[in-house]
Amino acid sequence: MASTASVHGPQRLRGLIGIAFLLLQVGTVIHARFVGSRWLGAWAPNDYAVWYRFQVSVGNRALSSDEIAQRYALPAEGVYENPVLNITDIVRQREQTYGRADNAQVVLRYHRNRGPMEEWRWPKN
Amino acid sequence: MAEELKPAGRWSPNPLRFDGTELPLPLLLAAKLIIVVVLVRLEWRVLPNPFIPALPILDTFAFTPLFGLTLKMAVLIGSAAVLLNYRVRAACLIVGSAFLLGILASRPYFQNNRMYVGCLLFLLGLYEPRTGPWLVRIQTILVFFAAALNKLLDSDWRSGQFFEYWASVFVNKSLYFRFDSWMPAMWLPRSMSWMTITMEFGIAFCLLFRRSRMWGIWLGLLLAVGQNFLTERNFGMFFYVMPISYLAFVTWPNRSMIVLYDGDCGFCTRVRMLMERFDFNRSFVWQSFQRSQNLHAIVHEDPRQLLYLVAEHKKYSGFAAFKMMVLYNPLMYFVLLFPLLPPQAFYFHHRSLVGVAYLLFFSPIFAPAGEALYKWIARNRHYTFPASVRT
Repeated sequence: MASTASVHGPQRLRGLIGIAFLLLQVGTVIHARFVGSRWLGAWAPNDYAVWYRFQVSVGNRALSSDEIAQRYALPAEGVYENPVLNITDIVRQREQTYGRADNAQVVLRYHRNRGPMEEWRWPKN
Repeated sequence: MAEELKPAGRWSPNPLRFDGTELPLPLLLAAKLIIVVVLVRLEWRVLPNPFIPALPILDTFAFTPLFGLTLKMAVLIGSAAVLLNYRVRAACLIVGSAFLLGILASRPYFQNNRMYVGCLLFLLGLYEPRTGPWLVRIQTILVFFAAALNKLLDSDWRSGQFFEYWASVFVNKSLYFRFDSWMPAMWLPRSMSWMTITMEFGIAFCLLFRRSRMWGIWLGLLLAVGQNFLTERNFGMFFYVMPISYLAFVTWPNRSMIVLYDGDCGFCTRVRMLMERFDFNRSFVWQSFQRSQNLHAIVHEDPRQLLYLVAEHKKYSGFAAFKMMVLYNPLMYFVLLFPLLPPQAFYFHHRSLVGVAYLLFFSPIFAPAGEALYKWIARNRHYTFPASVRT
């Protein structure tokens, strides 16, 4: 009996971890219905087309495109295939953690699917 | 007699062997193909160090190059183990976990195709005979269902606004825009949007049920090749990995398959010798119909005209038999994959034509031409090689 249990134990555990992993993704898909961003298992592959351009200044000095790309690991300008909230999440987290002391001023101009041009700023007024 | 395909019981480091591991053949084949994509497309090289992580605790390792290096080493060592059939389940788990950890460690690194690769390998690592391939199957179905649902609930997708803009950025076929100009405004983008939504829902539902599974696979292949044709983009690794994941939905024969051929034909014997050389898993047992004890209810003179394949309870003849022998030989999937892997410039930005050619070759559209070609070769086979070539 003991040996049977020891054989079946890891098998059952593998199955349970797999099911839990898939359920976690189902939860993420449902959660995505109530938020604007699409991270991890929300599964919206290439469902968005956001044209954007960053303007970033640190201490009254405007950063170059290369510096911006290095700061956020995103090109300074481009078409992003996730929601714009994914970009703002990246900027916000960057500026609240590693860049907290920089007091960076960020202006993100963007449009979704050739819609009206919009603007997002960091820090928020 | 057809032999049951049993695990060899002995470790074989031959990357082209697919038996004797913890994973059944189609899943091990899928794992190896994914690994080849990861290695050849150098995806392992961009695994990140923690930077703006989705899991804040990983910031503990921020600016530590050791983290990224460990992920890269894990992927390389795990990949080698998968390819060499060494503890494949654990190796898949390691490679999949490395990708998922990389995604959690860096928001900018996140891409859906990387996430999908990580999930697939992670779930392949959790395979056990009791659940069978269902963990991987549900993963694929979930991706299509969620993607279709997301599109359906997006007003820009429903109106075609998204597709109209996306096409202006990514579609590189002038034919699309010419066709668009002939149609009423927004007709084509709206049609393309709804076609994508319908296909993605269709794939999810068809893959769910055994009877419609083959339709699901064909729809999936059509979507992948269609998107690739329109844009010449790979969507990261999606273009490769999504079709590979359909291997989890195919039924692979449990027994070796019998090939009945004309043993008096030199050409047929040459073909047999060639095919046997590349049948590393001994999946096919070639039998000369003149000497075979069991013709499997095939009329005695038929194999003189056509090659026959008996795969469990199904029989295929002529071009269909040849096609099934290609599809049931794991080596052929690597042969099909490798031409798709070089950079676009190698194909003058027309790589999608290779994908289109594959799809056409295996589709019923090509079957009449394939059958005619097969019959022409069969008719003339006695002139090609003398009948004396026998082994």
